[in-house]
Amino acid sequence: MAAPKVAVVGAGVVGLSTALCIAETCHSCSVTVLSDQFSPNTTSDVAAGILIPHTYPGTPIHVQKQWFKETFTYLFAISNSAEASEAGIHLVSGWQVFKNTPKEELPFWSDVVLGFRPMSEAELQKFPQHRFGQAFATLKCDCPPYLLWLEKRLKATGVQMYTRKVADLWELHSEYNIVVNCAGIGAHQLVGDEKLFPVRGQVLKVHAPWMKHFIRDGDGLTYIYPGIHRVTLGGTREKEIWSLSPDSGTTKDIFDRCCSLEPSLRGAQDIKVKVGLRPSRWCVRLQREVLSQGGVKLPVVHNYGHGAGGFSVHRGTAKEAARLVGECIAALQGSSSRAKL
Amino acid sequence: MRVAVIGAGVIGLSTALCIHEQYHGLVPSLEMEVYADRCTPHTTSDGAAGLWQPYLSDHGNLRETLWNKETFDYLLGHLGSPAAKEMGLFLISGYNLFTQPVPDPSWKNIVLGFRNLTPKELELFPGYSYGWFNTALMLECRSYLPWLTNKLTQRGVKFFHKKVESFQEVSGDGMDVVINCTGVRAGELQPDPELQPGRGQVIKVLAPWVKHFIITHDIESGIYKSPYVIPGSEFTVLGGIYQHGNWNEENSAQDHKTIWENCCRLLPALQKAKIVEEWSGLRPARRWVRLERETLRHGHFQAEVIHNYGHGGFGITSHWGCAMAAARLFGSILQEKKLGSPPQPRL
Repeated sequence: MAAPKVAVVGAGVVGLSTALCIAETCHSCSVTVLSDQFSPNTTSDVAAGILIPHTYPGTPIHVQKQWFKETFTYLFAISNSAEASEAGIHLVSGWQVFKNTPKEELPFWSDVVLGFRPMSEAELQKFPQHRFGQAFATLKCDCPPYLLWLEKRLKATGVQMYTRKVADLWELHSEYNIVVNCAGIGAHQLVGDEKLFPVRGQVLKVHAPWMKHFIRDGDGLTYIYPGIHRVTLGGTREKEIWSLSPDSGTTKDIFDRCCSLEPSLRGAQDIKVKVGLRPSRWCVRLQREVLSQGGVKLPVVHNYGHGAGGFSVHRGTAKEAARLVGECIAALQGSSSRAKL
Repeated sequence: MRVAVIGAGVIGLSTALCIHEQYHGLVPSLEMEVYADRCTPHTTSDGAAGLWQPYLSDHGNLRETLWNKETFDYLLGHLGSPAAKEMGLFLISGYNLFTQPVPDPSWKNIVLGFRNLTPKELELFPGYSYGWFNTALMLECRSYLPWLTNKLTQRGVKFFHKKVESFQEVSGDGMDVVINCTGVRAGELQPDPELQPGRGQVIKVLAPWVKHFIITHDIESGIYKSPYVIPGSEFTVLGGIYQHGNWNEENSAQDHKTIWENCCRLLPALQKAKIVEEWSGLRPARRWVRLERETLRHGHFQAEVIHNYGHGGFGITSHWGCAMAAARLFGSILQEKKLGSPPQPRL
């Protein structure tokens, strides 16, 4: 096959990084990104983008760790380079604190982040309601900068990007040889995946430039993540709620919970409220599928369902998706050479 | 009782506040005046990044280590208060980097979470093979000095914007005690060959993605001669200049080049940072901090002077401990004048 035409549906962190991986590994491919939303209107733009993995019940831990490690290593190199500020990648230290000692004192990712260790008694005094804590340094991807940087890299490799609402993957079969589905929460409607459900998250993005550390309650509900220009305060985890409208009672509740962890946030200014729907699933759907109608086949690679952990594993899953695209191409070439016989 | 404080940098203002807080209730007639030719934002303190961190070694000077600890604990206690933001006070973590292993510093148990760097962390800093990570405090004087000034003004302390030419000038007027917090120019009031300027220069940039302080050390060259990057609440300070005996407060193009090249090599992302300001200042360097009483007699005139100067590059780091020590000296003066008993020690 001369120049396989690959369409990537979705332009959040998963779609863009997957498109980039495909362009990097398949030099003969022509890659196009199609999405109804681009930064700053994707789910990724709402997220803080901190690299602290979410655990998927349905994916083996060693696989999740591999994805996280690949993502961390990739971003670590960028954070260390002259491009760091443009890409929005920066190192941040902080604490994860628990009101009750967690069952698992050493999460699977503790040796991937930097300097992971339990907090000392003196450090815990800052959190009187919490009895146990972990200190470490990790990376944060600020959006929009990271997504815009990915878009810039894509354009430089010749990838086209179009605003287009894809209603059905099959509609792409005449224009593209392979479709990569990175539609995130959109996959619920796009491919009718009933196992994909939203977990609504409301966050506040505030101006509090003296905040240099992240603070996260181990329950995952209350967190403070300082970005380049704003601090993300969170949050909520509302299963099966589809509403994208901010709720003012929730805003007050988030603010109060965060101020309880970090009193200086009372002085935060210019509070902006955002809502995103985490595309949640028991496991990330990262697999091939072949759609066929009337004898015509369309290979599809799915890469969606990253839930609360999209940023943490995006590069790892993007590389795997690119590998699967490679398999699709090989299969197409195999069948086309068979057709020539 | 009239008290004149000379100097309105971090030392002068905090000493004034500490003494006023402890004694105004006990000495009904306490009147305090602050004299300074330079006020915030033009003091030496204003130019400093504001990081709490003593020198690597205290050379056995336990007094100074205790002042540093008292300062840290005092500030840490204020972190959770609503005043913290106004004071310019916040927690910050970061890295101290070396090209060889070094002994742990005197302050390792004062700061939070002190530990050695892991090999993976050292990958961030090519050329450095050893280091520390710890959580410390930032106290930005361009917020802290106005905060101190407000507290003093609220207490009725008067400020005089003038250059004091001699101790007699302020004490001849019926001042009972003079507190000398004149920093690098203390020698103009009383010659002190041990006091020398330790000239520094810094570049202030916009680099809000930097969340850690990074201080490199070159054991042979000495303190502050190796690049450092300290992120504040608005700007990030780049530095690494220490010139003993240099009184020049003008920015040097050569020093600018040194700072910029070294810091960009340390943190390549800084190349994209926008330069906002450049500043030079004179650290009031002295082998030991001069913190002691002196009775000055000059004909009919006698004045009790408390000296509190010579804090080099660790004025912010030691200021509150020194202020409390000065306040204790003040208490002893009061005892002698039988104007009141010293206050109970405060925990």
